[in-house]
Amino acid sequence: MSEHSSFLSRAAAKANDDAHRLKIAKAISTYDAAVTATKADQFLDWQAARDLAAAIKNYTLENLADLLEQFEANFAARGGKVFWAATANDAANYVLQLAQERQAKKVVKSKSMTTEEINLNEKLEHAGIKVCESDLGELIVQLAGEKPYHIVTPAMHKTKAEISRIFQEKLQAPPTDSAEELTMIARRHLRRDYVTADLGLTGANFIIADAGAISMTENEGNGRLTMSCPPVHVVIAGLEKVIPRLTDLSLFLPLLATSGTGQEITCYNSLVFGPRRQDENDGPEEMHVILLDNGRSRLYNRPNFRQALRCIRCGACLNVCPVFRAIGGHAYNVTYQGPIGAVITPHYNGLPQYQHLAFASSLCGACSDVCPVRIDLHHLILENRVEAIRRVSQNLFWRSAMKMYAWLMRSRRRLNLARSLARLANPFLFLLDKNRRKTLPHPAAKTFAELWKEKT
Amino acid sequence: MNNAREEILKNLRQNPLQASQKPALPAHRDASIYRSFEAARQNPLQAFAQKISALKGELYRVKDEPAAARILRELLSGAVSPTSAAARHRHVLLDRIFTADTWLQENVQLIDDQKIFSPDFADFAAGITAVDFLVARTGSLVLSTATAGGRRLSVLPPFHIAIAATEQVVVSLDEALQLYSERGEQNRSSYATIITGPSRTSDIEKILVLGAHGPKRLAIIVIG
Repeated sequence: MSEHSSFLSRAAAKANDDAHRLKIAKAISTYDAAVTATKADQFLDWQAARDLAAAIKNYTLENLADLLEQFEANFAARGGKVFWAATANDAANYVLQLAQERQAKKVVKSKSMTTEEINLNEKLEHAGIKVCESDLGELIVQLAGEKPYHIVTPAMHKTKAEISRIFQEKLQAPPTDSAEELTMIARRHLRRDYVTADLGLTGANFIIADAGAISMTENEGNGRLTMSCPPVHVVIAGLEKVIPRLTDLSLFLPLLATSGTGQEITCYNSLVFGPRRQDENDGPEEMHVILLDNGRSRLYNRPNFRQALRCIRCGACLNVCPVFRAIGGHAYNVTYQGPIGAVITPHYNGLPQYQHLAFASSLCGACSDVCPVRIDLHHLILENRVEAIRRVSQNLFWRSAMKMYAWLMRSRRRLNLARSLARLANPFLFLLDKNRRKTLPHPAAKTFAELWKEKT
Repeated sequence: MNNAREEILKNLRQNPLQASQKPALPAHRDASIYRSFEAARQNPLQAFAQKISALKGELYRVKDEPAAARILRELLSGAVSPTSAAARHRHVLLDRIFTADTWLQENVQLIDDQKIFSPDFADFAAGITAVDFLVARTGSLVLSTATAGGRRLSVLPPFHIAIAATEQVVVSLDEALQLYSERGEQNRSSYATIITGPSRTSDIEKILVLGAHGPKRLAIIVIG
């Protein structure tokens, strides 16, 4: 089955799963209320803040090569190592090599969508290295054998009861219906992993050029432990994550938190300037930052798509999208779900089969309205759709069908005839809808032209 | 160095905008962006106190160091036990508070000399640190390795107690980061963190739970 048709069947199943829709509606309405309140409380003018963020990101993108070099020079001066990865494989292989050189048996990870993008967990596990996801949501989906459901809220689709069952089965935990007790089970479970892991893996929310540092946002503290306890810290970041100045964080941290979770600022925002210094009590002896391209420079060189690299991965466009709200995150079967995923995924390395995602949109523009860095998401989705149509229009069946349609539409008589046929066929058309979920509309008894004639 | 570096940089320089079209880097100040800035500017400590309590942190304002020692004893007496001590690091402000108090000296271990790398570190009942800045507008603490005794002391134990002087309060994040940037390379730690409330998660059904992986409890003692 092609990726397109399997997407359609997953989407249809999820859209008709009432329990699933209820869970998502509940989670997103909690999120919506928090975001609305925080925007009003914290910002003088949310629109002005978005303009400013977009302007700083535009400057960044137009100077991206220089800023990346500036980051590299500043970071390397403190003993940090930078690896430039052209593809997902290069990045994953580099991590694997680091782990194998150190005979690593266990790595502890904080939440990172970039590691999902490069399929790192599979690669490490295949080599016999244990991977401990430490973010609570990520741990839940890892134990369940699933992929993250949402780029910010990976276990959005799991209820307390489902999580308790997973913990009973995989962690031999006692049953509970308390979110607090479930969280404490995860806390106790991971406690030793931080201090016994050979390698700590994290993502980065921002790469800070002038400071030669990375910034990582979280609420739980698992990220801080991951970059504090193991002897090696490896960061994997998309090369678009750059901001020019350390002080830019005073805008981007609140912007990301507000759009991501409806908090004014998240609980922990770590700034990492390099490996442990001689005079410091603790910290990793080695630190590596992997700058991942994997199709980003291709996106960069398509003039209209360059703006998609402004993305700070807040997830707001997913939460507002009527399609995401109906089908949820897993139906997409990609790392980046929702509108931003529909924009970037087909352009990333080796993923042209994801052009159909451009059709998983009502083009309503709600995503563009909420985007904190003002990416014109729905127009970019439309551009991807145009491209997908161009590809399909090469196909003989499509071309003949379109010619037939044009022929039909050019004559009043032929159109009326088609309508009469449709009226006759209508009672039988349900046969085409295998799952009997839709009622088909009836063609009107009389056409507009006929009605007009009668009235005048 | 790998070849990918040159290849990627070349790709990113392939289609430059003309100089006249290049966007400028806009300046920004928190004053023009945040509604909460003005209140923080007028009364920083009050704004900080409000934020901290909304975030479920605890704030204790005391007039001098002996008073700070008393609060610290109260906070710790419920937390430490014969098997689980508190820990602190060597720091000018903390040293002044501890020298006059034998109970505190007995119940709080100094971590600097031991260079503890054992898993036992996780079993300390509380971690006591100094801070670099307190940020009034957001209710945040800025800590760096040098002023907070390393990376772990403020995150591994279930209770984090931070001690600061009123002079360390700044109005905005912008200001804190600016001051941090201005420190020379020599005085900059390998790690800093902006802490805003005790560790939390809402990963399960969006229900707020404190103490996910970091401290469940955060207390700040401000002197002066």
